[in-house]
Amino acid sequence: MATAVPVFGMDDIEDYRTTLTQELQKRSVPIHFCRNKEELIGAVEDLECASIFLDVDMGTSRRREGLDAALHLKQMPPKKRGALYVAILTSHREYHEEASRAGVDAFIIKTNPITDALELMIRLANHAIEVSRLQAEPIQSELAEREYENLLRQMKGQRDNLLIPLGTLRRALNWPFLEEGERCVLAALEEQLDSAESRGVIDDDSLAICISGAELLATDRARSEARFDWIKRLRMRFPGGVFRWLSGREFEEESDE
Amino acid sequence: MSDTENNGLFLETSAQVLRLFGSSSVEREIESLLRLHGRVGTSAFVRSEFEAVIGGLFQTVATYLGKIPGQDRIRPFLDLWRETLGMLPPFTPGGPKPLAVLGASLGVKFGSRSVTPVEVWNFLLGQKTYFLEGFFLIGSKDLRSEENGIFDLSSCCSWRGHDQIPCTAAPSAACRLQLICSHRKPDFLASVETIANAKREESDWLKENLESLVALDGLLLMREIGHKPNIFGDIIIFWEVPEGWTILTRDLSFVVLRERHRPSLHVCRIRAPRTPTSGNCMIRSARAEVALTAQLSNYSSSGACVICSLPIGEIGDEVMLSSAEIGGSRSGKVVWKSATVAGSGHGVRFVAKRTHRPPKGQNESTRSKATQRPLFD
Repeated sequence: MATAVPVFGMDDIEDYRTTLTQELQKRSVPIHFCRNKEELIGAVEDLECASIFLDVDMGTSRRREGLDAALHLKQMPPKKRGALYVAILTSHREYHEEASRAGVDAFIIKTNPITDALELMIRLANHAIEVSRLQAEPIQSELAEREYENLLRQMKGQRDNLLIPLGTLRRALNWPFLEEGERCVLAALEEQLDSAESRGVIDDDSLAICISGAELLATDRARSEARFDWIKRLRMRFPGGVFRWLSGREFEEESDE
Repeated sequence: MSDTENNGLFLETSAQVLRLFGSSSVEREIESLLRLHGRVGTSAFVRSEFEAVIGGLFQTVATYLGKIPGQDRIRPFLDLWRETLGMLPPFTPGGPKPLAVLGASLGVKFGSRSVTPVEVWNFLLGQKTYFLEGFFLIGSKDLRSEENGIFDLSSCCSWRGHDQIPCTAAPSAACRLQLICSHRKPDFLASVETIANAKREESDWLKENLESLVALDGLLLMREIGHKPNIFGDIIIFWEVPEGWTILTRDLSFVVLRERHRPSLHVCRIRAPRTPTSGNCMIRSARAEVALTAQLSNYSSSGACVICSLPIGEIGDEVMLSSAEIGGSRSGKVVWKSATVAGSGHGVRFVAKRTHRPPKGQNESTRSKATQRPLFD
């Protein structure tokens, strides 16, 4: 699933290009250098993702072409621009502010091609992690959609055996790409079912709130504002604290002054 | 409703923490106090402090859990927690105690169950969101609604991690902290002096720096305050409370500040929970030759209420109290005396702190249920 991310560069100094290419090649990372901004944009615009390293100053009469290219790439539609890793690789520290305003992902000061190649490698590795994450998100959504529907069915039908929905909840809590609201609802539901399961009984009101929580998850992974109302309901239903594991007197055990 | 209507209950940070993390009796008592007050509120500084301490603690632990190799590998929770503790920085938000409580509580929660770092990571971050959201919800009331309130006299670019554009020459119109530090500078400095002389944790620093603080003006003063949120926090919160409101807190500083600067405010202090009992104890005063048998009425980690057939001494007298329930013999001082139907009541404050542990055979839930006396003075 994780695809190799193509790497592009732009630099006007031939010796530097050659050594950098060789150093990256040694580690099986091919880099394709483009001659100008137009060629670069043409090469990456149809790609799903790419890592791009740009020299700012491309020589006489082509000043700041790298910066212009970075700006152009970072002004692409949000979905596209998120998948492009654009770094400035320059000897000119003075471009830092402008590069930052253009929204580049990294600003790297050139030292020598061997060190720079190593620096590029770690940036590429980091970008590959981000790309993998982006690629996993729709799959995580699909998985969540299926399992939350399942959870809802289990909660409506398994009142006497809470271990089944509890197992589904714990499985979901093991997913690596959960969203903030989703985590919150899952953690609260797990706690409720866990404590009900250990008591061996769940009352109608508590079950109704748990089912509403599962509905929030099944509808849109608890992204909507309805989550806040649900937390409010939960707090009113359990004023002493939803998370009994944390609600003890340890926090109160300080002496009076 | 205006801010000056004097029927509001203001929750200071310690009250918010105890409400969300303490036993259910705290929440119930707050509910009963709410019935006496038309409105409930808190302040921008309280919110920031809560986020920094509670949000910060959960976030820090989760961050380090997320760094453990083998995120999907199942292992006993205790091994995982040990590994996390080994990676944590020496200082965590809120200090060592909340971290220890969190670890112990997670240990109870997960028990001997094997878990993955991802599961605990998701669980902690889910709870963090829940608690940060819960900060605004008090019973049926929402602090963000118009009739309640989050009072702000502290937002300023000087705080670390602020999201405002930094002021350069003078405070901007958006700066709320200037309403305390510049517009009410004499009041503010007087309250700083009060705390400097009140033998509080922050007193030493304030005493040493009082003169230099008086010499600072405008942005310079705010920058100094912004670098020391722990030192100035209580004082800022004190001035954020609307006129005539009641502050619910555990912190004695607010009592001291109120007496000197804003007598129109009311301070309701949350005290350590008492465990009621009817067991016997032995008490011996420094003045007396022999120990007397007395009735232990209730006790906490810091003191006890003892009823004797006769007065055993004067306020300030040293006494030695012995009982299995308080964990053996504890020395203390008599801090109050009163006549009761059952005899002579004495309040004893223990001299040395001891972590309270429930007596054998009495578990956590029965202890919580046993707390019947109100938690608020």
